Amino acid sequence: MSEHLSAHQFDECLAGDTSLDTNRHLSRCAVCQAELERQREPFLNFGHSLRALSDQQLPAGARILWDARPARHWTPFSRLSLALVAVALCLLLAFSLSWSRKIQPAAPSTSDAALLSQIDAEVSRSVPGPMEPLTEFVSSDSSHREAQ
Amino acid sequence: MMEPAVASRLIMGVEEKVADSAGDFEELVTFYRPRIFRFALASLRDRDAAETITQDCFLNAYRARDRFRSECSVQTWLMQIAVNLIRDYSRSRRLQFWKRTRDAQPIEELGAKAAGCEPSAEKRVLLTEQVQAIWNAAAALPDKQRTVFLLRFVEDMDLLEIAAVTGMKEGTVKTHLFRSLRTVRERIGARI
Repeated sequence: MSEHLSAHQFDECLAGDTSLDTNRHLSRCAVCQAELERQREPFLNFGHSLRALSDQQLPAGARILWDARPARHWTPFSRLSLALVAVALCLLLAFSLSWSRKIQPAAPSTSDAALLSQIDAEVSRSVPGPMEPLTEFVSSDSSHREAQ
Repeated sequence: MMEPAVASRLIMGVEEKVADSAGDFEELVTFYRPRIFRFALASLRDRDAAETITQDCFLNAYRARDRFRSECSVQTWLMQIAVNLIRDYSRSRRLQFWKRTRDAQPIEELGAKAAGCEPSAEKRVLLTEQVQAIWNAAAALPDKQRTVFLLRFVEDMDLLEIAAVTGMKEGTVKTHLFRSLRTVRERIGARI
């Protein structure tokens, strides 16, 4: 062992894990004893102060409510699981929608035929749709001339 | 510290409906309540939260009393429950940061106490600063390190007791304790 205790050995003493060698050295070395006391003092004061504060703050005569329900805290796990369930539901919905679109049967052939006949009618029309009302005048004029 | 008779009966596993009524359990509460409250207050720095944790700790213990197997002391068992409750509470508080309105315990109320004799007024101010600095540094530690640090320096537990309470191995406790000591020292710097 070197002349004095190392920082790690002092930490071991503070942690309450002192080896025999360290104890032996401490019993002989006043410098290390003083250093250990200096290092230990703030933590001892901390413990004393918190114990005093706690005694002061402890509600006197408060009783445990045996019928009470324990306070429920939102734990990260419960939030995470909730979020995962929501995501899973969304995915399931999206998947089922896309699947139902994929397997949707082709439009019935009757609608194809109707569409074709509509196109035929459009193509074979002599006068464009929007001008159709004018054809009445044309035909009535010609019939009037014929009558004259 | 002598444990109450009901604790001894629990440890011995006397199955004659030990502490079966809330009345019997009150004895345990009276004995251990200050300790559970102190650890919760040191961990959470919030009196109301500490009270809630203390209440829940005894309520959970009362409901789980049939499952108590005298593998550890009643104190260790209660501290295990408290550590778990504090961990859950801290996590939920971290997630609900927008609800945090109260500050930590004000320094005036801390009224630092010296381990030895009564200090002078001037020394008391320095002492209060130092204690507050340690508490602030401990509050900023990761959960496990903070728990180990407070169990050691507030509850005065040794490594084996801390290991039993936290469910960690002794070596892991030691590692957490060394890390927490180093971090606290770095954070409070010249105050030590």
